Amino acid sequence: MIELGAFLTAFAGFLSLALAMRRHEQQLCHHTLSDLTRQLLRLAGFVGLTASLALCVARSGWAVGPVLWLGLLTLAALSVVALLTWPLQGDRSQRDRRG
Amino acid sequence: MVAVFGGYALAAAVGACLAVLLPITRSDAVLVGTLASGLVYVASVIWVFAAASVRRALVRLILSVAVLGGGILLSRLAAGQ
Amino acid sequence: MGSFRQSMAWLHTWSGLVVGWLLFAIFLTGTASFFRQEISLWMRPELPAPGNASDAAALALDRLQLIAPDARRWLVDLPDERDPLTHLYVWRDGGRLPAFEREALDAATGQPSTARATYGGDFLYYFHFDLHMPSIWGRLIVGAAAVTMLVALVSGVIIHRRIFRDFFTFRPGSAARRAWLDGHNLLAVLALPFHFVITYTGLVTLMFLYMPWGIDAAYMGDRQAFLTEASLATSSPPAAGVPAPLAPIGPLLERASRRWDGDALGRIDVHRPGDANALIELTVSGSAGLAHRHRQITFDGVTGALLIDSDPGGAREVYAVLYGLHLGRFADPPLRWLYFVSGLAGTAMIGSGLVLWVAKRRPKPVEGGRASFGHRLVEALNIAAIAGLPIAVASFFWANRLVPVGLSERADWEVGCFFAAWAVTAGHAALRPPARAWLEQFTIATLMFALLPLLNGLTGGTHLVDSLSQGRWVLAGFDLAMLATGFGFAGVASVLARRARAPSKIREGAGRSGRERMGAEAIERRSR
Repeated sequence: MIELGAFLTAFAGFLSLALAMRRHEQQLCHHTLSDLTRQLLRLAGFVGLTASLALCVARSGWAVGPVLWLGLLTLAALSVVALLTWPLQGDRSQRDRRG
Repeated sequence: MVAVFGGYALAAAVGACLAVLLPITRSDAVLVGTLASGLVYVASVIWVFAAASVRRALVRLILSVAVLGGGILLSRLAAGQ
Repeated sequence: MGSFRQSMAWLHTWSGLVVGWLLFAIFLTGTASFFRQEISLWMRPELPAPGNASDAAALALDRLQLIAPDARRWLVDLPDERDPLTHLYVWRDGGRLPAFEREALDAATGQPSTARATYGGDFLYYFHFDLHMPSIWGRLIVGAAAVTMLVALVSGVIIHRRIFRDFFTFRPGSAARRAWLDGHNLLAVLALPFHFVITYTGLVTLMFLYMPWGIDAAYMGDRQAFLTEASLATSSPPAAGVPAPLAPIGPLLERASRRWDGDALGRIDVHRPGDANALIELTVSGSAGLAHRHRQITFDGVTGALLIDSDPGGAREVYAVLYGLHLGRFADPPLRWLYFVSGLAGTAMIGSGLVLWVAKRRPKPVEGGRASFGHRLVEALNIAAIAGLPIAVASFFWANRLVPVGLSERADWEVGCFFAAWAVTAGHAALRPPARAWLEQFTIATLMFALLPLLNGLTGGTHLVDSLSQGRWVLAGFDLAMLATGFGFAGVASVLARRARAPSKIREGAGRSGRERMGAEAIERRSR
């Protein structure tokens, strides 16, 4: 179960980082974010990734933990990309209308 | 060609040089040298392609291999005495 | 700086293309090898469910005493939770190649296993570093490909200017090469640590073959001395010529277990059995730690006296860790799946790079240009590698179920089917128009993978419903993975079919958006 937690924190971390990027915030939010929000999101993103590492190390120790973490990062980042590329149905229809 | 063979020569030289010169246990030195040589190969291929001309790349490679080879020879001589 | 990037782009393109197909095959079979034992298990449906085999070690040595009392060396790989069989390896003095003989034992009875003869997952495992070639040629070629891969990785990072800005960017709806470039970049960047580590450590596993010069310089060419001194391999001691009975194994196992705090025994290595100079070496089971070379205890084979208790350290530990990272034997199921996913990402990255090469150079329809021979060749090879290899792998699994069990050289027939299927896909790719060939081969791959669970149930394997209800997760997992692979190929095939039906529309769509066109021009600038 702890690996699921590590995955979710990494996923949330990457999602925050993506939101903090101008190109992606428009894909997910429908208005521009302030610079402060963006800074906070970025901070939250790194906190999420660090928390994920901590969970991995807690699960498997310092030897295997980082290996697990890197693998999870890949999976989490790919998931974020999938979410950004093929957003949930409601979002897409909205975006199509705007486009 | 220069990158492939020259890079290999440089990597081999670095590997051998480290194996001989590192002041740790002989078997450990060999391991470190050989482990490093793989990375040196990659770096030297990039280095060759980064050079402005083939000739310059060749000169650089030959010089470095010569220096390393000299190092090995010197250490052999020192060990022989 | 601009010209540096250009030469790196050139280096990346051509180094990637030259070894791309080979790397694709290495990555695909290597990725499958993370589940080598599971594949082997599926390919021997006769095997009983794993049971408790506490005396497997003693039974194995009895068997060896019977079949090879005069061997130079015995090796026993004991069963573990992933592999229910005991594997015996025997080396004889002056024996001809292959250097060793092997036999699989039923762990509970100590008798030769009656399961069908097959190389199982080992075929894919060995293929990924020796390409099924005799002697060391395959390994040399794979090593060269691995170095080239590292070069391509480093140059790829250098030419990818916006690693962080494009970190999450994927635009499948845009022009073909923009979409392929996005995909290629994503798969590369998001799994970059894996790609780099797996390629470098892959090189490390065979590095003394490629780079013996360090040993030659420090040991004046005495490689065996180095291996012994670094405790990487024990060489058999010379035979004394005096026969002496082997010490009973039971007490030795107990002593080892006490020193290892109960860690499981993985391997027994007996040098010069039946001779006065016999040695017995016990090694901890491979799944116990990150490093590949684990604690080892060496006993005198006759008296049972403890000779060496090694716990490697220093550079040896680094080497062992690098080696272990590549094999991933320490990985528990979640981590093993992550390895697998990363491996797939690597495979897909190589595949997308190859497709990208073609997509960038596709003759423009408006110019009415025809594909050049080189372009056509690359595309055919792409099809044969990317679609053909999975078909070959599926054929290997089909052959496992369809080749009669009693046939002699049966295991080789399975391998033959693998290569035959691959050759057929290559011929097909060369003869058909590319778009048709892609679609047809992916359709075949879909059918072959999706129907495997059905075939398994029909030909004596545990049916998927049964394996699920009995909780035999390895077998169920294999079937489910095959189904998922089938669905994946079905998705690709349906996208291709849709595109084949409406090719002009897609092209229009790609050309319409001004922003995308600017993006494409930017790539063009970069690639020049």
